[in-house]
Amino acid sequence: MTTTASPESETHDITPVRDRPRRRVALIGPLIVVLVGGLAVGRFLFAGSSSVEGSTTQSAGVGSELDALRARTVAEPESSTAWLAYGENAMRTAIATGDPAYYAAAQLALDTAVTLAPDSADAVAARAGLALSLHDFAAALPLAERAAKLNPFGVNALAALVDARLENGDYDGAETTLDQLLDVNPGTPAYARVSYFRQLTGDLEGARTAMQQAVGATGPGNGRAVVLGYLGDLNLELGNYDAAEKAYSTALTDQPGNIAAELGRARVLIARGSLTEAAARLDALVARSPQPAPATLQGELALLQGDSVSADAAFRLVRANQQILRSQGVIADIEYSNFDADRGDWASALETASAAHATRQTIFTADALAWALLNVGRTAEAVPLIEESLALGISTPSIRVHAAAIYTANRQPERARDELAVAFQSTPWLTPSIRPIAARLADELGLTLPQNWSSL
Amino acid sequence: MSNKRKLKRVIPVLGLSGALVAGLIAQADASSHREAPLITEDPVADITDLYAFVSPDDTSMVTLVMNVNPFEDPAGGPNFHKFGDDVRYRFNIDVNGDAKEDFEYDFRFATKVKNPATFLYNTGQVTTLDDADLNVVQTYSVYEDDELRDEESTIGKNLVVAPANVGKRSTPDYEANLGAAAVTELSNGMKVFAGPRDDPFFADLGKIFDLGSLGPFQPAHLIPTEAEPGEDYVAMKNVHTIALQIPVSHLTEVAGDPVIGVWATTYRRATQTRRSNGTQKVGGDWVQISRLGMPLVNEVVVPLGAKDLFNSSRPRSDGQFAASVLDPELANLIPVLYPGVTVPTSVDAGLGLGGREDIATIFLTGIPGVNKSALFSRPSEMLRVNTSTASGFPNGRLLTDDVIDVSLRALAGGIGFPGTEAFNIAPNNALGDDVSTNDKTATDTFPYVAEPWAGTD
Repeated sequence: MTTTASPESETHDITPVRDRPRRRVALIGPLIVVLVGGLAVGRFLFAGSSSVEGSTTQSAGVGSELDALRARTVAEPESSTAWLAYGENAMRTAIATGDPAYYAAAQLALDTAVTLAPDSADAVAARAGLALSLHDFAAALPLAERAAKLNPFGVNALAALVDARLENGDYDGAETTLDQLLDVNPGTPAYARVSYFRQLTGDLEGARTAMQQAVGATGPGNGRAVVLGYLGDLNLELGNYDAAEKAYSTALTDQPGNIAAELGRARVLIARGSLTEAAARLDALVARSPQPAPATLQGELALLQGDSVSADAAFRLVRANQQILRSQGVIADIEYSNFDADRGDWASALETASAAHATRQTIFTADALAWALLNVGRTAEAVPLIEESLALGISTPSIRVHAAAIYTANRQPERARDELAVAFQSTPWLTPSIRPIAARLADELGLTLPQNWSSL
Repeated sequence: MSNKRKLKRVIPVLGLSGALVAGLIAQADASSHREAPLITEDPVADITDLYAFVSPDDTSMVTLVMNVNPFEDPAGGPNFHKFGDDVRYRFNIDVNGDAKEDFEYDFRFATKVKNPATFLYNTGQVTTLDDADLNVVQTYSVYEDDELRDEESTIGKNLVVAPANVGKRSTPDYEANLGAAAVTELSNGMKVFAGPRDDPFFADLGKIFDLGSLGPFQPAHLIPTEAEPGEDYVAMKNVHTIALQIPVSHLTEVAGDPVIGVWATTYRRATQTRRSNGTQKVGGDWVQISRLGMPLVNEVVVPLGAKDLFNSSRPRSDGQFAASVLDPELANLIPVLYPGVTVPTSVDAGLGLGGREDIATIFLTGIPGVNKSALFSRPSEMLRVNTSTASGFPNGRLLTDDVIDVSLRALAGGIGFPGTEAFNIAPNNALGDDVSTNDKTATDTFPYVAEPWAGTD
């Protein structure tokens, strides 16, 4: 076994566990549904047989495991746990591979699992998790509520409810459930959500602390790679490039090929001014995983480098992806709206953002709608919406720059200056498209663009 | 989420949905939907096994051993395995049968990196615990809460955790220089040890997870195959061991009964959801995240779907699990997997509850005449030790006890429990996984757990 260095200082208690014996998932006859409790076989099957169980150097490939789980559903069509195991694995596969066809398989499997065992908190929580993954937040909320009611000590049920409340804009409710989750089990699921909640309140340092705790409370493997990716992102936003790089590289040791970490490393390069190297990495990443996030960054970087042809190709790829996701039932309205807005398609952005905000009043739907309204000239209407978006205190630079633009248009220059000041404490290239807007506003308001904003 | 016992070690992440969605849909900053992780393994807080026994070399002392961090590969460098600095580890002891903790022994750890500039675990040969070449040092403190005497005290401070057994060049004569050297005798007559050791557990997990297959009995299985020898799936693996030896009299003299009930717990801190007044408090209440008393507790005591509840619960509330103990899923499974084998469905042990009262006495009350306290007042799941006799599972648990075989036979009625005579026949009294000994021999002095495998083994 190769020894892989994962240089850590803050995360020094991370110690790789290797060579976990892989358990073979057997196919069993319908007779043996009862097995599910016995000798842990059942809970083992149900719990996942996921790729994370095996070697920590394994990538997302889960094909044979998924096949075995699917075959088990054929052998045991009446077993809720068989469908649950298959559905959860299919969902993980969808997320990990970026192939949305797996969402359809996951949905069929989890719907069946819930139908067969309507009172299984685990099945209902998993179905809620799928709805969240598909961004069907309206459907996710009642499912998560039911799961948490069925098992008030269920970590996954409470975690799903936190997520569902956040996505539906019920921030107070989410905080209450998060406190409950912390009381039941202060582990990685709770810490990671505390981190996100603090991020929404603009407390990036606090968010980093909590994400560090999340990393410390999980073993090496795919699960830790996820939280390490977030830790990297937070460090990046805080300008701690070395710490970000360290988190991403450990994530890639845990899960080679982890897209968030690969993307993060490209952004560290951009932050450090190594645009050519970043572009090369993004090209390779998009060739392997032609997904919206890497393709968007690829396009934005190409624009920064003055290569509008490459940028256009990248953005067309994003659009094509969105069409596929949409056809698979993934609701990504905010992403569509932001994307349209960034490309100047305001009519489309407004339509999407209006619909999104009508279904759920969140920080992000309010921001998207405010920004679209401003850009179609409905200047005054944008003010209450951007105030709604900022109510919790989020410091994301794009939202703060939007706010500055809205206040400027409404002749409130002092408020605009305050918003820009907040934005300028952040790293500008996280969303490169706002940089020129910020530069124009700074000029209008008589502010100097910080060095790190003008260096790109 | 911690896994309760050895068999559960293999349970992977449950419903981890937080994979690569940043790449799929969302931008990486705080935009729109964030996929956050669900239950993940927490190995440093995962109690794999608990042992409690009257010390073989000194019957006036009882020894407690808690193992965490399953499946350690001895070659773990450069980030060798450690205890969690942010985890509290605890032995709980009930000495008067009321299911409440009368003694608590807490272990807290702290890590120091002498030279952060190097990633190396050791910068030269390490021959003593305070060797300057040992770059990463973990220390610990031990706290006692004696509820009966109403005393709280720090009984050990800044003790040194045994380092990793890196290999013959880095850590020559490991056991003499570093392993045994890390045993500390405290001024109150107790002994403590913390560090990596050989995993004393042994089991054919591979076959058991293949539909409860047991090597010698494969021809009799529902899906028959040829008989095969058992294979120890935890051979050549280390764990992290916390061992504590306590004078029996210290525990039993106040309450006056020789039976003690032991369980281990781990805790992590809750935290504030958001900052208050601009200050960021990291600490919060300690919350129990893992609990372990008897081995195989998840198979026999905890109903499906109640794992999270059990992890958070305390023995005094274990009445809620009584129904699943009296009708153990695993016992029902044996005749399904091995057609022709019959097991008892009801055994009267005088509890007046019906069902498998024999199993209930093993897990929840103590076996009358063996390890049931004369002071017993409340059913609860814990590892009970009669300190007045030699130990052996289910009366306490020795490092060498074959708990898989004993548990399977007990469920099949094959251990001679009164009322199960008709079932005390082959194969019921011979069931097992054909792995009956560990791959390393327990030592005859504290901490008894064999020295850890070296990274070069």
